[in-house]
Amino acid sequence: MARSTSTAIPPAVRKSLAEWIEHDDGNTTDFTPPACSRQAQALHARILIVDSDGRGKAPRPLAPPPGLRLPPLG
Amino acid sequence: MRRRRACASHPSADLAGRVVALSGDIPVLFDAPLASHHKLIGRWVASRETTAKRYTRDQARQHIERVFNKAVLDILGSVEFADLRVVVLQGEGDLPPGIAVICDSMGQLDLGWIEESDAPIPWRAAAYRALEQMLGRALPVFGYQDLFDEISMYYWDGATDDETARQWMIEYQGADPDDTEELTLPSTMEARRPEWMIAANAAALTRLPKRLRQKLHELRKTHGALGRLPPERDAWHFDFEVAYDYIPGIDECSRLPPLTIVPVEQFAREVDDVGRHGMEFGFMDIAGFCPLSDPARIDDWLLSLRTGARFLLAAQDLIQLDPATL
Repeated sequence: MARSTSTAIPPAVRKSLAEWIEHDDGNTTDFTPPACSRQAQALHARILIVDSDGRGKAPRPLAPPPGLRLPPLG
Repeated sequence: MRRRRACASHPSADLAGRVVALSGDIPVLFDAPLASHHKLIGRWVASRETTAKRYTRDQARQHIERVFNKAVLDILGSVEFADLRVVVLQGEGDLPPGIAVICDSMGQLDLGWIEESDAPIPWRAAAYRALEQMLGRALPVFGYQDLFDEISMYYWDGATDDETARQWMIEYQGADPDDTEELTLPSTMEARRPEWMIAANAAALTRLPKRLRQKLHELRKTHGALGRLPPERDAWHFDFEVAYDYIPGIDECSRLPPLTIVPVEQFAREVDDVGRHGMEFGFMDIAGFCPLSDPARIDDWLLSLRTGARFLLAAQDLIQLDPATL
């Protein structure tokens, strides 16, 4: 099996020993998340409803599907 | 015949007859920045490197561990009469990393010809006395006097003479005053010591065979060198309070060392008695503990480790001596 050159996940970062010791604060800024397909993006959009100002809304209970009634309490 | 590999990546394990392979493309999982102890040792490793090799973070971590482990094993590898292990600990909070030398052996040290041969008692007693006096400088080991003191505290309220011990056992432990023959008393314990354990039986140095004298001289010389190390640079120095800050769990361990130079053939019951807590909760098995904040001090630490290893090798040579060749 040949190695794919267009792999979605970049190879692990390589640095000299001194760089790892002196300049590694643990932030993996070098890591870019893999690109999502359009379907996945649409799914994410449905899960996280983003306001126009970019902040997520507080989670609300999902509305039950029509036709499914909750049993009466008590 | 060589089988063709089904996958270009290296197989990492064989499970249930199938080759499991991890692709080199996958970034190392469980990855975390190097902690303070890896950084400390890493600076020492980096200062010795001549090429600017590039590593993934995980490779860097493994490389640091490999180089340090090799340096330690080169020094401790030939010490066989006790299993020693070195652990680098990350200090919590403001504490710098620390390096512990741990003794993994437990029980009686093998005393070789000193215990088992037919060599003259004065020779055997001279060798035993030297080991008993000196070994504690590097190894967590207890001797006859420590055992006697423990037993005395436990059974005789610290008494060292038979009469006081007998009285205590009758009054406070319900021993039958008419049947004290079976009781272990200070004198009966002392009497069980084989002749080679008694320091007074040791021959003067000048009356020992030349090779034995040389071995004892080497032991004394290396012991002296170990004693001259400053405590803060001594891999074999152990201060309970310092180690406790790093390993609070040692508080629950027995204060007794895991090794003894007392022959269990004669003192099995007593050694079992005093070792009970240690068998359950662990012994004080740290041979040395040294906090280190400066990577430049690691070479000093390794030098002191070597000084201690030389002493232990001298002890090992003495124990492994064949009296027939003397």
